[in-house]
Amino acid sequence: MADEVVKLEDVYVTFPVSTGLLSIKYFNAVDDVTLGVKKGRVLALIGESGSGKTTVGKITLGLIKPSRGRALFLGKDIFSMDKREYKEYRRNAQYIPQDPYASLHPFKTVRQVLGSIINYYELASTEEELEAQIEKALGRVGLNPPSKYINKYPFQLSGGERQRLSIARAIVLNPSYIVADEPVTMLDASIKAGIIKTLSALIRDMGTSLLFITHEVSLVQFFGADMEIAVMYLGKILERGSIRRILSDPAHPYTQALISAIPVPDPNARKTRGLILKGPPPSPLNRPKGCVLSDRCPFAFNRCFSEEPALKPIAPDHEVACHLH
Amino acid sequence: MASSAISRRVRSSLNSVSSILKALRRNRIAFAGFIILLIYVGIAVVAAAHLLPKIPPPRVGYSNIYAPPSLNDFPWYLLGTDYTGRPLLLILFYGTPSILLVAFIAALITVVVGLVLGLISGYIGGNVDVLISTIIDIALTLPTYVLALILVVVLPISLTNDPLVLAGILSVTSWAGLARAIRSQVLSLKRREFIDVAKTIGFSNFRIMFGDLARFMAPYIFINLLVGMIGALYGYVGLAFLGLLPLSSENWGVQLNEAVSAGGAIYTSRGVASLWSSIVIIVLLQLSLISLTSATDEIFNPALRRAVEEESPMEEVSPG
Amino acid sequence: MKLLEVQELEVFYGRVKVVSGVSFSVEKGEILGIAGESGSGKSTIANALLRILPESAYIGEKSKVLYYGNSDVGEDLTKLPLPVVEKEVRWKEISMVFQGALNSLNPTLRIRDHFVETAKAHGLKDKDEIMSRASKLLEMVRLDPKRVLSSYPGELSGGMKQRVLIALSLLLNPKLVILDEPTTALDVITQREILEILRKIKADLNLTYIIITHDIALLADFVDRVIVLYAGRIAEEGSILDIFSKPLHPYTVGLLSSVPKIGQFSEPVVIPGSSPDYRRLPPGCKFHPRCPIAIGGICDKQEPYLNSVNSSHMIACHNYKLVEEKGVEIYGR
Repeated sequence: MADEVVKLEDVYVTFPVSTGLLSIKYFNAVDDVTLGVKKGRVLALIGESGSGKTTVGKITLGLIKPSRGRALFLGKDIFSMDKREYKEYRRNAQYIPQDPYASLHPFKTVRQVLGSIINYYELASTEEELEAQIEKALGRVGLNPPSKYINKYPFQLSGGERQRLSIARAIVLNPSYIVADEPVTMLDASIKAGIIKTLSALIRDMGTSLLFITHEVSLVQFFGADMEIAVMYLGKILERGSIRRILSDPAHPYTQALISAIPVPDPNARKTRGLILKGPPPSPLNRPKGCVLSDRCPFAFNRCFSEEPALKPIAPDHEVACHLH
Repeated sequence: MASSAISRRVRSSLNSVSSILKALRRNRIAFAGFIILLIYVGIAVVAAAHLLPKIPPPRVGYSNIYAPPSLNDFPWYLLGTDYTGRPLLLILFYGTPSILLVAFIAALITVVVGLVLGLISGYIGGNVDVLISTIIDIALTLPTYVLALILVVVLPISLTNDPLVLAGILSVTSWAGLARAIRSQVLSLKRREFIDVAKTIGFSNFRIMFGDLARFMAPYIFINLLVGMIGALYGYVGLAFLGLLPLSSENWGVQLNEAVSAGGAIYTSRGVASLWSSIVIIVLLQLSLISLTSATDEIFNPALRRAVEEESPMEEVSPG
Repeated sequence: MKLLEVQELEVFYGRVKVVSGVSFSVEKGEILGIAGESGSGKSTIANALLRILPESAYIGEKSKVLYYGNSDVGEDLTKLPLPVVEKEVRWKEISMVFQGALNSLNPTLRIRDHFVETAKAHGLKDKDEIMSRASKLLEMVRLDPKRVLSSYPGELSGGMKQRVLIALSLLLNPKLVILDEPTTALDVITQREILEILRKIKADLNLTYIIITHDIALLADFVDRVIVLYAGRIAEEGSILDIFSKPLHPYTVGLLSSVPKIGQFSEPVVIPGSSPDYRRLPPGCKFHPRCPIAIGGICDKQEPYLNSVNSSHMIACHNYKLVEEKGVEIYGR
């Protein structure tokens, strides 16, 4: 669709896993996912580890090719673009990964990290311009004063500073689409808010679309009430819609469990929340037949064990894949 | 303008060099090795630039061959004479440039070929990987020394005198082990997030391989360069010792050979100076190279260099 | 009755003082939470209690850690010889589940070997007894002993590994268990499970817990009392209700506001500035450079003492009355 910057259509990503000498089992890390990120908006992809959310992010970045289905950028299939289109795409789709330590080259200074990109794309014609652009990028992500940071190596920066550098690196090309994969998960609680605040201000300024992948639902609220959420589990999308609707009235039992599991800084609320899912998540190789949550769902009935529910709208801006609806 | 940029780059390179040197000084063994290597290089340069006195013509006669050390024409007769009656110390000095050159070029060939093949086959994967891996496997099964021996004997002397050819012979299969090691490192590194980011930024494969990945493996490459030189050195001296290289008394290995055979150094005392001095200069060079390998961290790890620059102690002050 | 009493704890790393004047006590059967960001000294305190500080670190002379587990007269753990601590105190009286523990299981040993090694290291040699205890403990953490004991760590999920570590910490019947970031890196639902398990074990085995974390919300869910640390010093201390309904330290207020409630879509409160450098701590209150309500002339000159506000709530801040009045508004919203 024209107003979606990125779209996945009926995407499957299948991995073979050898389960014995001669036997191979296949599992779908991404299982029939259709998802779009609207222009200039934020989509939060919520899920636990193993849900496939990181794979989805990487598909939109062209890092993983779907086994089936299409991945589109501005309407064009990423994996069949011509050279020119692909170059445009590359410049416009950027990545902020999770690990602030593994995502930076240990032998490059801050200046080299940002400078190498600016020079590669020939965005600066003189040394002065280069310095100015680097300092501007650093300033925008809150690494002030830039001169304090510009000659530092990653090991001299704290986790929060490294992530800010990652953000600077992602915005220096003014992309139209950014994927942030659990960017604050590895940081201290007190620093998370600051980083998200910076990121959210930046994308609002630049009008960039954002795919924010995380398992921490409450943090996502910092981006404002105007965003969409999609909840993933074992490769499938279980629920999708506007954040207001889903947080106030979660329809899928899994979403309900997620939200009720979030620790609330209010000791009085302690007694009223209980766990509602039974048992641990199954291994992706042993996906239950029928609904993907059927082995753990307290509301499962006959249909759930034999038939996979399709994603259906139950209100404008709210879709659910559950037989209860 | 451009000049300020260039001067900044020059200044920053000089800064890195000086901080590397400062960091090196912390590691006394490596620093000593570095100085010794510098001395060897200095001698080689001096010899190659014809700044040393010319070698006097050979003299025959029992009293002239393997003459004991004397203070004649200081310092050239300090080690006495060799089997051609010429001053040993001077001869050994003259032998330095070619041996260093051959060893260095051989190591360079090993490292460059190994790096390029390892990078390409690890990063690109697919059929290219299959092809290159097969070539690597074949190379690994070839018997290195036997092959080198055969090549040296079979090729005409005009070729084997050329240091480049000699270097090539000495590195004919040594790149294979490195290529394989680099390939496996690349296979695991390419899954790391900083490579994903490099891809999304849009860097070309070439840039990612030879920019980011190679840079990441720089310490490993450095060590392999040094170790390669050590191996090539032994190979070269060995081939000469076995009498397979053109007879030239400047060659340390030839000196060794002659000391044992002509000087009867193992049995009498006459060729002893020749025998031992050849051994010592070979071993000393090897030692200096090896000690430099322990300095890899000091040279490449920015953490150590920065600590030195800021003159702060490297203790772990990281309470939790 | 008190189980542990810490008096004026000071820890030095080399010449740098990273924990200063920390005093607190732990009642038998309670859950104490120590909160603070990375580098605030919380793990250092835990390590000091068990005397597992690195070589270059040491505990100050004036410090006392009095343990009342075995008698009415407290034994000062800091003055006991290290071999005694290793043999009699660690794991037998006080044990610990370490931070980042998911990576501390040896991937080449089966789980049952982990139990055997741990037991042997503390003087328990009877293999049958070890196995039977291990099975019981694994059942208590809701793991299937038959399956888990013969597995390798790589075959277990994060949540399962964490539970194994909890079981391991209980092998020798300690009275006090210190858990350092027990739920970091775990998914939210698994987190809830682990907390439930911890609650149940505590009741069944009469345990006392000290929980160390930077996740304020986790504390709300779980602990009875909270100590908030900043720069190695106690900023605020109180019951869970005190801290969450009436936080009095600007830092605590900032911490609590960085975790949004569900349905709350406002901008986060960000504490300005960055963590302190222990080698160059500011004079006076260590938080004052970042504090929105620091009083010039007082906060930058004199370090505040810990004062009681009521029987359970203590605060170290010159300007806490303003916090009482304005709450999160001090960060200007």
